[in-house]
Amino acid sequence: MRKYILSYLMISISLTLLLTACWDQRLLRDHSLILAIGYDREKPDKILKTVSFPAPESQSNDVQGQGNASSTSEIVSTIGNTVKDAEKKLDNTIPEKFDRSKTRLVIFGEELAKEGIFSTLDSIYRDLRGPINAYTAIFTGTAQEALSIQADESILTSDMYAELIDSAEHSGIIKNYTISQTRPLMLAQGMDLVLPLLSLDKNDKPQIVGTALFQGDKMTGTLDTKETIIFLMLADKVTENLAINLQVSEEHEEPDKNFVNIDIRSIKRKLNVETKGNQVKANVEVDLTVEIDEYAEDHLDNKKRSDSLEKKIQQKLEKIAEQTIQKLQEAGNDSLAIGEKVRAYHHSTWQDLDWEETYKDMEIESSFKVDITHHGIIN
Amino acid sequence: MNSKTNITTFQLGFLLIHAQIGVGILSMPHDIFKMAEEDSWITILLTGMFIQIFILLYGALQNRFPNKNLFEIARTLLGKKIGNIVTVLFSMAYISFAINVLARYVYLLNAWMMPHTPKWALLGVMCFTVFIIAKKNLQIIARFSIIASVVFTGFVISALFSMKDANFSFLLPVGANGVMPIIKGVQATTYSYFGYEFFLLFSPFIQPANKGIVRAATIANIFVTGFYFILVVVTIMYFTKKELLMIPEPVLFLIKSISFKIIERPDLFFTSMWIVLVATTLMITLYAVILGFRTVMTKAKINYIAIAVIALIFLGTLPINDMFKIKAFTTFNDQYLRIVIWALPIILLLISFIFNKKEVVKDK
Repeated sequence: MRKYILSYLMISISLTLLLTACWDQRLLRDHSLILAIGYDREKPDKILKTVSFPAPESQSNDVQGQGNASSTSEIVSTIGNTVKDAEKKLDNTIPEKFDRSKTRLVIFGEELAKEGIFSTLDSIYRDLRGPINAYTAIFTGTAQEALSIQADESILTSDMYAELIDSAEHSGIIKNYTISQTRPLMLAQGMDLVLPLLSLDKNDKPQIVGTALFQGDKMTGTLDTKETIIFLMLADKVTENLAINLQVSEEHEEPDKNFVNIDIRSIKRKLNVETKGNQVKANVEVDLTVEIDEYAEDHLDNKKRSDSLEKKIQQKLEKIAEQTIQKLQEAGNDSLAIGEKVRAYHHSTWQDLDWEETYKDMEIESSFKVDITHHGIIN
Repeated sequence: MNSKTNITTFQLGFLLIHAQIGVGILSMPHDIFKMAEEDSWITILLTGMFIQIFILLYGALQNRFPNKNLFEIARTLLGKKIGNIVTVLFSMAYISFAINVLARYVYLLNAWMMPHTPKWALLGVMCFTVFIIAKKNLQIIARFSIIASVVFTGFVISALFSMKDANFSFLLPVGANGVMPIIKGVQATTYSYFGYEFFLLFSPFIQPANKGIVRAATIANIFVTGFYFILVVVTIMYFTKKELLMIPEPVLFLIKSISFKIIERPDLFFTSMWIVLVATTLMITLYAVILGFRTVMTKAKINYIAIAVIALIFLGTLPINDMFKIKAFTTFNDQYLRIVIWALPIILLLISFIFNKKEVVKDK
């Protein structure tokens, strides 16, 4: 028995020594971590890939001194036939190898987004180390432009963008999707993808300008920021409390008094889909409980005035909603998931329909119900 | 019979669960979905019931020969020579099963975890581990199975964790494609269930003898069905139709999409856990093979049999190194196992009924 134990021990020790040769080791010192990637269409049929990574000096700084975050980003762009081809050329530009597994953000230029993004993302889905939890966004110009901005205040370009869209989602202005979440939306028949739309303002600072609407994997339209908020309500995608500023009258001379700012406390959405023959009708009902946090007109303790304000807000919201839905339909973007509902609950109708066609001309109604429960600490 | 090697019915239950759940769980939802689409979950439940019929039939056979394992029953009913042939057929079936499990295991590890590690290294480590435990007694394997069952909770919890991104409506409409796809799905699913028949081989080891064996097998079957059911339902709700047809290992993909603050790639953890499940399946299978060869060659030493078998499995796995070969081999293996595992015990049961042969229980 003893002999056996000894021989096992010998075998296992020698195996451990032999087998820890690590065919699959990847050392950090051999790699440069890409933190943001931009993809553009380089005319006529090439891919322009831009990567942003922390500059080598700042990397060594991070190792030595803590908190000395004078990080700057460097960017490199290459052109290739496909994403991987461009990537291969990237590796020739610096001594280390690029590692994209820690990417936080993937930005698409508008041009490329209009032609479709699924084949661009293929290599990320296929890669076992692909950054499928990175956020995605669309940039109105080229992604190269977006990543080339000089970020000051000692923050990496990638972090700046990531935090920008992250905080925007927290305040309910947009909805972010990671790469892994985009795939089902691009492939599903009765659902569609929307992505945050970024742009640069006059001072070359990045800002969110709305939402890019997709049909399948192609970008087909946009919404501005106000429409986006309404859209998020309609699509039941509001994750946090959000505030919205509305013009409720035009009669006051003081411009401030024409506006009201409401803070949404709770939101309930109901999507009803009816089918009659091959006619599909959808009705979206949104119930809002709101707090008024700015209204220069005052006198909200009066029930009548409060009710009439509720009504005005409702009308205003419905008007924007109508406009939003029209834009969605024009873009062929069914991100309210009406199609999914038809597929699941009215399957026989669904099989007879060409959904893309039907969706464009179908009737979608929206109605809002607003209930003011709080108005700050003054009347 | 040495009391050290006996197992309880409780341990038997775990042995059966681990024999059934193995290499296939990561890809099983994809394989079923190809056939049954949204109705895959019905397929799983149907398959569970289908398997239960076999468990009851095997139980009837086992009841007539309470102190004999399947190989001994075959020898009693068919005579020594044919009995030996049947035993060797059975053992070869399990060897090919082990080869298939290992081939899929190596392929998956190469794809998901260690793309540059050579196959022989991955295979060698697994074969060595399995060899060491399988040549011991059944009790040790059973205890190991019980400890290894922690892994199931990990899978279930992470599956439920991804429910936040799930779409309930992906399960609908129910039965839109009719009954045929569901039944075709059952055909594709039975392969993931093989292992329930092991209680025919292990029954002489069970103490107290002959009590609650079928019940343990039934409970194991219910557990396996439930486990598969959860995985299938969650993957259908998480992935769209086109994706599920595109992704061969949806369970791992599901886990890869969840990101925790501290753990970047949870799929690595789950691949490691899955390795344990593969190991238990292989151990139990190998033990059954050794049992078979020992019935035929009563004089040979366990160690030599074990070494020969594991070497055969190792060498047999090496050439099966790409997806198409694995697929072809799985199809072959599936057919072979069906003939051996379904047909043979039933034939034995029929013979035993027709000629009214029964084991004479001496005591009591």
